[in-house]
Amino acid sequence: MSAMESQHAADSPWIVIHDEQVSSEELVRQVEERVARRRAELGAVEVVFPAFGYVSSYPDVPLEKRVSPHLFYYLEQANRMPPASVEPLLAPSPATRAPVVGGLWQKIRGEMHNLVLFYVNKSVREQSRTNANLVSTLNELTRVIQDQQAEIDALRAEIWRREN
Amino acid sequence: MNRGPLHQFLTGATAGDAITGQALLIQRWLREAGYESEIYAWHLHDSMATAARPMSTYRRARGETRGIYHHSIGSDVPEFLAGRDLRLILIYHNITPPGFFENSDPLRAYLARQGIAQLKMLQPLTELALADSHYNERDLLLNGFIRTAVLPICLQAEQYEAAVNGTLPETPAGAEPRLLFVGRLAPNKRQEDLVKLLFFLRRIHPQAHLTLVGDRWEMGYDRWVEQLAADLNVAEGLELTGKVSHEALLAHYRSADLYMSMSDHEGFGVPLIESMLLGLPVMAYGSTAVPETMGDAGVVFYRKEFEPLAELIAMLYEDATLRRRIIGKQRARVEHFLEPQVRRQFFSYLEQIEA
Repeated sequence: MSAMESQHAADSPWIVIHDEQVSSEELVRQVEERVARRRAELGAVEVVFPAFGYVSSYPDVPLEKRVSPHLFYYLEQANRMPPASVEPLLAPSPATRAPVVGGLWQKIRGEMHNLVLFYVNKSVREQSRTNANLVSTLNELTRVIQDQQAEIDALRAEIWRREN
Repeated sequence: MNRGPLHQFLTGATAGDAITGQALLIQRWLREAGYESEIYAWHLHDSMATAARPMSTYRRARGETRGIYHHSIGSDVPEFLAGRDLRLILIYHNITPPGFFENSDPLRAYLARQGIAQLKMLQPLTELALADSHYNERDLLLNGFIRTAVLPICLQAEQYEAAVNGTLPETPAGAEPRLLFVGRLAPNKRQEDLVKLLFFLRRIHPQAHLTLVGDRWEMGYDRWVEQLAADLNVAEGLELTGKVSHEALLAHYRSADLYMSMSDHEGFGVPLIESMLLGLPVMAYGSTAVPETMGDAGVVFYRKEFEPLAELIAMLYEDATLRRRIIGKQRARVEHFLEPQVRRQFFSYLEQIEA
């Protein structure tokens, strides 16, 4: 639930209309009825949509160290990596104070700086997105490993129980 | 009567941009009231070359004490103005939080952080701080601005009365209902959620169509949205127009069945009121300033539940009388954002500080 959803009063209808013939509550009811009818007619849809810029969260570190602690150390470092930063800082140049040509030189420097900044930002944002995707993938893979480890432990316990 | 100079300062001036549009309108009001008024921009697009001047050409005139500065992103303009010893009328248009761009556009994120930090620096220079909405005014109060007021974005009705002559956008025959969203392709605008909604809507109306009008920017979000549409098999119902002319924009508004916004961050939301003015029913996610701009008009929702929202769109599309009532309420609402009313507000604020 987003901050906006939680700010909206919980007991208020989530769809709001100011109309003399249909209230918000009635509108929500009609919509819910239509959803139910549609599902009965076409079946329910189970779909997980991706979200742009989403970064998967760092998994919980298990209490039992069944997986190498190095995995969690490096994964934590990767998750803590600050977002890449690009700052449009143009270093001062004494030559820009020169009479006549100083202003022109400053203008050329400014334009060149903007050009470099455009390509640096383009490159950094691609790398930034790649980093976020890789960290998300590693977080999810670690969760899979944790789940599989838990399953292996349960199966081993079951075997041990049957054998003894 | 010559009232002396009162110029406006912008970070960027581009034709079709909402802030530039507001600056041009204020310039006209000021000139009609007897002020000398020019627009100075740090980044001046060719489309505004004759209507605005480069910031570097500004020279403070004798007796000039005030300037109007439009703040919406970090730039060198606040420092430039601080060095000119002007008392400012700040018009604050909100700054999109940097978190929306942190992993996708580092430079944009930096400029957003810089813009937020510059509010503190602008506070002591500012005589009066005007915000587009009460939502934006809250930022000003949090940053210590004492004299604040709300001046909404103003629409010039006559600019929306132009006839559509042969510029109607081409949409596939029978593509209905037609949804429209106007705004630059950016993560905070959440065009991706409209594509997800289209997926469910096309289960009800297989010919449903979504038009996204707006600058495609350069950070790859547009390609991500297109790829999502392809993955969901709704690409043939999606059109990304890029930035369009004002005439083409009007044509899109007039040919749509519903204006739909899923945006997570709006300091005001100009397309909401443009839709109202042009008789297009509006449905909008109630984020940030959106509920305030919508007032008692249109339909506002507070959960992004795509399946029920698709049903709601279908209901509005199928129920012509409900749609007419919504449009009627919207027409009354948009009066608050038309020229006579907003112009009166602007001059009453100006008179207060000049008194």
